[in-house]
Amino acid sequence: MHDEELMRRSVNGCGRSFSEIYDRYGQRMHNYFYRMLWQDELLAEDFTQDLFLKIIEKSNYYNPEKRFSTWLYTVAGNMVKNEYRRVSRKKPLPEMSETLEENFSEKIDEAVFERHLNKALDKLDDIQKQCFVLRYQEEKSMKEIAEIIGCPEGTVKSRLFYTVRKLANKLRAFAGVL
Amino acid sequence: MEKRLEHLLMSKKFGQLTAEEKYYVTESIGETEYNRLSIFLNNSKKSLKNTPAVSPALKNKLIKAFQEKHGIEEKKKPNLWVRMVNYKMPVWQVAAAVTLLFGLHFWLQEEPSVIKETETVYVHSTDTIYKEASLPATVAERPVKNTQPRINVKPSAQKTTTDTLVDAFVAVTPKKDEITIAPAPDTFGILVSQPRGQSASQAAELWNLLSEVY
Repeated sequence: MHDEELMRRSVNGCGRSFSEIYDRYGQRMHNYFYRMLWQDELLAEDFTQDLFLKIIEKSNYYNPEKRFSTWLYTVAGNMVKNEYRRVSRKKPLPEMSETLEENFSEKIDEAVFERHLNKALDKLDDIQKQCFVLRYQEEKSMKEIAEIIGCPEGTVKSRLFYTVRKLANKLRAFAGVL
Repeated sequence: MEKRLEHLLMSKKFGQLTAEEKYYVTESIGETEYNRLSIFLNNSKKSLKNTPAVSPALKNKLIKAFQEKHGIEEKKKPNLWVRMVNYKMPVWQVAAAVTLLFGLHFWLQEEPSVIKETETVYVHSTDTIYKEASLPATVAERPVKNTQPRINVKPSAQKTTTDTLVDAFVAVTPKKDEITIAPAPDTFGILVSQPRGQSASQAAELWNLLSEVY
């Protein structure tokens, strides 16, 4: 059954449909929040809960003509933006160059790469970060990302290319190792 | 980033590209940049898959919130009486069941079509119980002066009709030559109607007459 049909039934009080929606998107939204909110697991869980509570309480805001996943990621993106606004400054991050130098001697593996990737992501512009996460973690199409962010598809493409180059440049130390 | 370039970056190393693809890549970003971006993107994709699992308790919380919002009570088995009272069935089924019950009731009670005419008859009867009063042996041995027994009837015991029960009976007392009518609540006797001025002999005759009649 399509997400949209499940959502329509959920709005009418069908508990099983809501449960199915959660099964499809609960973990994915948790991953999204985890990556967008500084890899804070508890914060990600709180945001996932809030997001689904919004689905329950404000389900009438959902436009059935739009794709459900697009609407869901749009709401989640707005929640993240509000959190960025609320937190006046993002969590302090160590300088990338220093960290790399410091850890260069230790065994370079995927875990270290991941840690550095997360740090690099947290230093990105909010939109760039959102584009990158939506594209390479959530595997959304360019068109859908454009709808979620609310900008033309061409802009998404250029932003993505710029972001990938920027991150690859920052993490170039791992290029020959991994 | 163009979709084609992105696809190539994530699927092929530079050495695996076809001549045409190599040309496209070289024109777009160059071999060095291609290799750097390809390694980064593939490593990133792997790293981005490492995310913690969401707590299973979260689903229960949300389901509960959903049920509260939509007024769905937690499924709790009600007791037998509540279930019986709240049992719902279609109206047509109720109507069919009632019709069936009525039909069975009349069918089972049906008898041969003989119309009984009953008439209530009230029967009034009055029975008279007799008790024979025999004279004691002492009376027989000692004859009384008068051959006819003397019957004294109290005025209050006199009745005008003869078809009612009397509350006195004739008894012969062991006293001298005396026959009296004494009240006997546990016995019944024949009313002896003696008009005023009637002699004892006339009363005795009446007694005999009544005895013959009954």
